[in-house]
Amino acid sequence: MPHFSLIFIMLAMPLLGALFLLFIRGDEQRTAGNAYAVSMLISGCVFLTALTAWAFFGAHKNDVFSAVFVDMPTFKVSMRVGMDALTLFFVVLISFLTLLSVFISRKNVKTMVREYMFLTLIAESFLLTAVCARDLFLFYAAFEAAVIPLFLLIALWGVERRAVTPYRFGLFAIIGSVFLLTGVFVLYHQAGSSDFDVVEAAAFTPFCRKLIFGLFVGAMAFKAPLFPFHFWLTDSLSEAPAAAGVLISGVYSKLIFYAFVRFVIPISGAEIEPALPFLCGWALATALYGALIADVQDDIRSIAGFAHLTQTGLLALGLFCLTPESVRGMLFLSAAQAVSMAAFLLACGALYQRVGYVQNIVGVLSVFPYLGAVFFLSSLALLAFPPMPAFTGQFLIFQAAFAQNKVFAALGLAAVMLLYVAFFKHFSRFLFGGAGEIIVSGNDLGKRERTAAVLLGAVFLYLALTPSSVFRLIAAAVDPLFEQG
Amino acid sequence: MIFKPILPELLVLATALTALMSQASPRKAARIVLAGFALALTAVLSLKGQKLFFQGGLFVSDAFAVTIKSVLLVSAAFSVSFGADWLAYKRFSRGEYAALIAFSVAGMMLAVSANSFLMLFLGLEAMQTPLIFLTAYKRHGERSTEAGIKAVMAALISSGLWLFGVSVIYACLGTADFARIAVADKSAVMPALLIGVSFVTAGFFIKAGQSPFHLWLPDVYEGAPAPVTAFYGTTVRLAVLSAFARVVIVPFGDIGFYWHPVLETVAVLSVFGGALGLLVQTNIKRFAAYAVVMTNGIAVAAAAMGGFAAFVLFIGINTVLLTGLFAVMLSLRVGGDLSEELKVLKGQGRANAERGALYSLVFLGLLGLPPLAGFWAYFAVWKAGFESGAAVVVVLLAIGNILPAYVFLKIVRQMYFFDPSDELSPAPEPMKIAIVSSAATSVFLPFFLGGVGHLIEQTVW
Repeated sequence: MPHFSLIFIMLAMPLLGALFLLFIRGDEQRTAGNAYAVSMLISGCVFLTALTAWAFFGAHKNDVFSAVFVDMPTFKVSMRVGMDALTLFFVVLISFLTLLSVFISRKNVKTMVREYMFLTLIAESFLLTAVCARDLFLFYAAFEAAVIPLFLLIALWGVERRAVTPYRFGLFAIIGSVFLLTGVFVLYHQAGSSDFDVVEAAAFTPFCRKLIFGLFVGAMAFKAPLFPFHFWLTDSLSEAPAAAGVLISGVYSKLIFYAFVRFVIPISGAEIEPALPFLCGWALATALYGALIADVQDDIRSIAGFAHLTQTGLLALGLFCLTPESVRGMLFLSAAQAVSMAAFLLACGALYQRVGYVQNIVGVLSVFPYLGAVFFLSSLALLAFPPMPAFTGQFLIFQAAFAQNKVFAALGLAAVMLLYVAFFKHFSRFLFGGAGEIIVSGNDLGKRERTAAVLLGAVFLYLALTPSSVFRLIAAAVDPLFEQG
Repeated sequence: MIFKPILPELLVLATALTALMSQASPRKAARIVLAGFALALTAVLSLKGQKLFFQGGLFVSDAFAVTIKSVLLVSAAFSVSFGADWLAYKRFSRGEYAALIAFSVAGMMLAVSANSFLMLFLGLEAMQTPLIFLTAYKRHGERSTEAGIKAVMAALISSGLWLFGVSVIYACLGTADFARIAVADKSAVMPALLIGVSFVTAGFFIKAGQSPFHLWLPDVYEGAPAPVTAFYGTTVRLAVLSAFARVVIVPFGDIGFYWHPVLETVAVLSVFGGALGLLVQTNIKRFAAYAVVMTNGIAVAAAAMGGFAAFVLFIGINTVLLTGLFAVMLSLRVGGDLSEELKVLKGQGRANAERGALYSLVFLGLLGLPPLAGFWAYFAVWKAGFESGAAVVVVLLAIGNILPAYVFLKIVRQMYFFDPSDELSPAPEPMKIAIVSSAATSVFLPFFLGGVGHLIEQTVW
């Protein structure tokens, strides 16, 4: 096992970049500009590394991408990092979203830009380490470590109720981590090693499998999150700065799904099947609750928060259907949803920056034609309105749900419809005008923002038109799990 | 040279006497003692890699003793400089503070190196007596005197239990020497011997402040002058726990069937007792006291489950982090007074971002949030626990560790999300050094875990 490899460069680059940021000096504006440039460069390079890994994936198998990360022979600790299809999928997602969130924050973040970029890069490094870890404890440590920078990002740059939201986020994350840690302990205890290869090959007693499944479901309820533990997510999404929102919704809350696919699916057998319908019910309850609450919101950003909750419920539905198709759909939906949320937050941020608030404003399209269009399209993407890419994922999940129980599929569809209602109810007013605060004037999207919108649009098109390239990767990750089981 | 193994202790004693006799000002006395500690540290490090006996095996200077004594001297040096600064701040003119610390440290070093219950008793008592004077240092203050009396009571009760236990052990085995106890046939005297061991253990538990024997601890910590509290929480407990770890591992290493249930129960009780205590504190001294109780629990678990290596890693990192916490405590100066209220921290992150960040790192490090150093210290103990088959205990310890996240996060939140109500004076130099080094350890140590593990391996075996 090599002690140095390409993966180290990828994991260390954000950290080194963050350290470098601390040495930037000068007046505030120059510091901000330089910090932004450095972060763009670093996150761009990480994204390119991830793409390189994708391009070479399969050709070199795991050789280039695995290494010993922590080595403490005294305590018999040797933690590996490595990359397989599942990891690669998340690595590409994380590095893309970080790049995007750095890009968005150029206009959104006004104060302490250097510190903001510092925390974003640190968060990226931890999140990447979490998915690249080939060791239970390293995964846990990196996953929990990401809480600190995200907590600070909401705390220091959030809006309005920022005294409560980050605290809630931290607290719920930590309660979830009690379950996660216990689950990790049980896995370790039963397998006798914390190395993934050993854990995956280990035999577990039926009781243990049930216990592990239960503990991970518990962790998921807090971290994904599921109703009624969702307050932190909806709050964070409406309070957090756009870039932190991208990381929290796009990556942090998805990592527990990663953990589920990684640890729980390969070892779970027939014992957990009786629980699955109830869990599907729970997931649907979350989805329906999110959609219903979205219906009575009048702030477009909290609607988006609850829309995200609905999507999370659908993701959980996909997971608990536990068929190869549904899990594939779940992974695809999580990526599509992350990118959609990023686009939506980008539009929201742009609007916020121009108007200063997003609550109860009307007639956006007449003042900002481009921005209004982007807003509309990104909302459609967030809703998974066909032909947006998220729809592909949802479709697969519903297909699997339909095959299992028609009621599930019907309820899931009902949630989606309710969500459409919630959005469209406000959209005509929001875009074309009506009772409310009318924006008088403002500048439409600038060149940079238009470029971003076009690029994101291209990503959407790519995902919508040729999902097969992503599905090949997802299939490489998911199918082996079901072949074993 | 016949005195070579005990040279560091002699040096510390000599500086203590010099500081006392010279009738120097507090600051000068502190300088003398610090110089003495530096010399003693050099002497300790020169003994590295050797196993030397003194007085026919009553005293041993081995790798474990060298490691612990080095940490001990450094943390005591922090206590001395905290104290010197505090004395100047409070306008005390008596110089014996540093000398008393040095006397106490000499006792601790004897205790850590003891290879027999006789020497251990001598060391612990030599540590204890100056400590009581230190606790009641503010003779005219009501709280300080009360704390002094409580410290006397705790010390006497623990020593009484301890001595009774040792006499039972001696009656059973005919020796108080660790090496001979280790090889003695214990099965013949089994139930009786365990009574002796239990009393010794109870004595240690009171001295270190393990739950449920910790009730004196928050009161004494609160009443003692602030730098003495810091001395208690870092140096004193390090010495007591290290001496106890030696008793667990060397003479009675073969009665694991006894240690595992006893120590693991006490560890879980201490972790939960400390964690639940932390949740309701408003006074930072009491807060620190409960943090000490909590981590004491994990330290004995480390000794029981992981042996010297896990113990040294945990106690080493933990001492550094606690030094940071006590330095935070000592730097809360509002106007002309040292505040003890946790709520003084409110808004300090806003008032001074750098200071807030350092304080946050100290608190989060102590909480053991990954990837900070505190997490890896806990992790080594968990890992050792799993390997010794105590999975349930590990899960309980981990849950207990996560409980105080509520208050630690609350403190961090209050630092940043409220406007400051009090204006803090700039932190004095010694506290600044302690806080910065504690925060830096928190952040950077995880990058050198491999090296640290290697170092511990070298120094422990």
